[in-house]
Amino acid sequence: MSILIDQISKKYGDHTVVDQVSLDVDDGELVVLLGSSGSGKSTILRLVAGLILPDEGRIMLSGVDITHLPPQRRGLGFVFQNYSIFPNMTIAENIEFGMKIRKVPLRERKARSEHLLELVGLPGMGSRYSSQLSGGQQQRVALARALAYEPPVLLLDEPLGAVDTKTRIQLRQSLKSILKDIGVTTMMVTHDQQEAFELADRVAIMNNGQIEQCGLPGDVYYNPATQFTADFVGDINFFEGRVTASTTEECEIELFGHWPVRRRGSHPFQPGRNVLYGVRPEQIRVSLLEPETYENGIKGVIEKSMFFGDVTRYSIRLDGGSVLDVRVLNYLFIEGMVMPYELNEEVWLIWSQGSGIILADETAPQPNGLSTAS
Amino acid sequence: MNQGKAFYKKISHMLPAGFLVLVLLPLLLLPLASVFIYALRGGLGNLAAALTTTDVLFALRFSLIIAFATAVINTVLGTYAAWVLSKTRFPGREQLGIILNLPVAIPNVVVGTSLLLLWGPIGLFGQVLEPLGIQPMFTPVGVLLAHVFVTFPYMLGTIKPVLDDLETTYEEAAYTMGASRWQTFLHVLFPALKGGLLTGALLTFAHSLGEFGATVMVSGNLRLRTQTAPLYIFSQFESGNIQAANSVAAVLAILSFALFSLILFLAARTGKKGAQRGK
Amino acid sequence: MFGRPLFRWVLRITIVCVVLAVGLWTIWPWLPSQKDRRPRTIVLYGFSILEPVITKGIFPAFQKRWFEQTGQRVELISSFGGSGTVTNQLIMGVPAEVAILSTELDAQRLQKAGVVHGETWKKLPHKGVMNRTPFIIQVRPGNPKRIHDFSGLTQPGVRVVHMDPLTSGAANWAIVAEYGAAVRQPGSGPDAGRAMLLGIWRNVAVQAGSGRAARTQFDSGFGDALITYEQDAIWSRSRGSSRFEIVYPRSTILSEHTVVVIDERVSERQKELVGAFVDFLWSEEAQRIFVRSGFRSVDERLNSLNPQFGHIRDPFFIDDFGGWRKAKLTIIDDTWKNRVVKELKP
Repeated sequence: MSILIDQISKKYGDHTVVDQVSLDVDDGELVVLLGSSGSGKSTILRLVAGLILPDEGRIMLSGVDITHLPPQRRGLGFVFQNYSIFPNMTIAENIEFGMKIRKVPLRERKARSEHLLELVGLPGMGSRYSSQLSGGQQQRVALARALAYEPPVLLLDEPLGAVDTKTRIQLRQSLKSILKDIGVTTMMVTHDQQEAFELADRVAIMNNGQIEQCGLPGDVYYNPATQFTADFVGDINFFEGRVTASTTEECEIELFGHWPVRRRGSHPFQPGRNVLYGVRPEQIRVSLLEPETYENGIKGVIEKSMFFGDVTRYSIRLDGGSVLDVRVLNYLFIEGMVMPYELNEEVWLIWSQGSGIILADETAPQPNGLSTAS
Repeated sequence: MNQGKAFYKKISHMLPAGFLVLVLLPLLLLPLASVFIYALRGGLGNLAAALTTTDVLFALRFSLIIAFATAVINTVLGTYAAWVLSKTRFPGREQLGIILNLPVAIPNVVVGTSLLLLWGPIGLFGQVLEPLGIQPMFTPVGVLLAHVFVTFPYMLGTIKPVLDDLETTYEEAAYTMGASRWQTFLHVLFPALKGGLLTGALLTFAHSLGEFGATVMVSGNLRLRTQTAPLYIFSQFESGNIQAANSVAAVLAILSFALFSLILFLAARTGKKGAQRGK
Repeated sequence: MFGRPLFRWVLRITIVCVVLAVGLWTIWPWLPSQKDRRPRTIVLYGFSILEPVITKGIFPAFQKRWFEQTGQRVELISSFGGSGTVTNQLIMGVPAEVAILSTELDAQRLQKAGVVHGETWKKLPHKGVMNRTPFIIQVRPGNPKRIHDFSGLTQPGVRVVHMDPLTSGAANWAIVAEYGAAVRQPGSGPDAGRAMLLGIWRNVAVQAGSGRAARTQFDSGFGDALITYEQDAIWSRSRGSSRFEIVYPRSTILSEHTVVVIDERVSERQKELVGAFVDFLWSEEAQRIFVRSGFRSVDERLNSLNPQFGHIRDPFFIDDFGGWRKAKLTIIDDTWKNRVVKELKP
């Protein structure tokens, strides 16, 4: 079943929480709303569920307008961040609650709840109470409960927000496989970018009550439409630059007024245009050797190194005076493929002319000509 | 040396408790004990005789019925008020909360007087109702009205904190699963409130059983019609029948003691459950 | 492992059983099978010292007679308090059908407040007076202060326990008794009365809210003399609760207790029953009961039945002062309140 959100807005007093948002979710698709807290993503989910009503706009479910239907009559499945497992009922009673309301016969209910408990990996736990379960187990019960009455749409509000990191990664995988199995149309809200990328068919990046960009995870990551999106998903180094040449094959940009870099592909920017040029830390390699002609390169001095387990992060001061972050996989050092860098060592930062993001510089020129996201 | 120190330590631990008991003895325990001593002075036979007069039987029954009715009414009203104050948002909510708790702050006698001035035959509403043959004051209905008024905050005070702690997502979860408001109340809110409801009802019952100030104003103190047990005690004490007064006082004391033990027991149990849930 | 749940169940079942038993006991008289046995009722408000004689003597006798005559059971719904308090309650609108007040003064207040229309009590036998009792002086055993008359109360050093005229009907009677005793002395006038009041009230050590409260204070050892109803002293003695002597003044007043039927509150259905009860109050049977419990009957012949009644050489009545309306004005208000009380203030 498909969801269509059409120009929907919600205000609390003077504060606009959701600002004319439109989004459609196809049948069987999993769309993740990714944003920081207060971006309005949870509000959209609650609007779809009918827990709150919009001030403007429409919500359609397979072509039927459900904008003003009470939550009871929408029949959607909702998993709350705190799970909200009813403490006075057993796990099985929790799962059967929606079916009981729908007057499903007892035997059928029992069979279904047992099946669901197996599906979420908690067989035989039906007679327990939520107080006897771990956070991860409660999450799975909440999922089973929301799926019990076979809702056409599943809404997940930060479903993994309340469990520890390790459990979260395990749960992510099992959640993905369960949802794939069932093939239910799903909208999920999270602030965790990895979670979003791992689970989503499409990701919608939310900021200030608006969707900044919606697309495939890879698209959003490598071709962010806005500086916010680029910043929000993953780390990125931004430089202020000016387009010096532009053809259908490539675009040349001058950084700091004297460092030329190239980006392959066609870009809509005319020479002389001020732009932001961004490159992700993992796309940059550090080298003592000069770049090849097909590569971009810039010179700097190692200022700081930080060990992160799988990677080492170097902060490198460029001759423009700005600092840029680079990540180097640690196994490269261990294998002897790269020598560890000393502090104050002069190095080349090199990246492919096929990577790099060019965005229009809408803002006034930044004082240091550089911004770093981390 | 070491032993002496241990002994001193032991004593110093018991000192605060001992002091408390010393203060409480003349303040609480001895007066209560004297009620029983007086009641039993004439022997069990006399006590039984004093407790089985028509007046006493009526007063005790009447008190129990009024207390029960008050508890039932305030369980419904108090729960509704708690729900409104806890789960809905409207301007003036805090002020309303203060107003609803006022009966605790106003002396009961004043409550009785104000009821009389409103509903009594010479009161604002009373004057209008009188010709219609409706006269709530000086009748059991009047007594009930006063008790509902005076004990209203106890239910509210017990239920509201429970509702405040109960996250709205429980209700929302029930709604999304298709449960109506009533079904949500019945299956989700009510079970969570059950302990509080019972405690609140018992508290209301106990307070109603002992209510005097408002009752004496609105009841007309009619034996066999509106005389509650506390009024009977007072009347008998005033006319010098200390034995009769103390017999009923002893019964009331035992009833209240039983009720409050039950309340404490329930409170301890729900407290334990809450802690278990919280882990 | 097994003991605790079992214990818990036993406890639970016990609590439920106890609650059910108390509940059943409570509603027993109101159960349908009991309902047809519920009696008719009369609602009576009376002043305080009447409680024992009405609830234990007069009413059971009436109950019996009514049952013999009609086969109906009748129950008394009653409340007793200070006469002034009862009057105030009646004015507030309590549902009394019959009121018995300690003075006609209170009956007049009811009339003024519109509770009764006109002096309806005057139409009852003996102008509504149900019984009487003289005011006497109660002293400590052996009469250590040698008090033999109201004048004895004016001696310096005598501490008098008196009722408060603001709340007690009896206090009004006592003031008229004190005043009357003085002015009825051969050859004296109103000034003697005022002097007597001044003398006694100079010695009043405590003013009690009601006759009952005054007795309690005297019984607990406070004061040398108590001015009270003869009936109260006799009743008190019959209970053996206090040790004292009764001093009969040479002349004293016989207080007269007024019955008022609140006609407006007597429904058509109740008229006959209430009427029969009120009539019964003046029957020989009822009057004998009053005499036995220390009240003097309105039928002088019956008063010889109680040997405890003392002799009063010069008894007088409120009518000797022109009735309560006048006595209130001249004795209570003009003499006592406006002059004596003011003179006593430092």
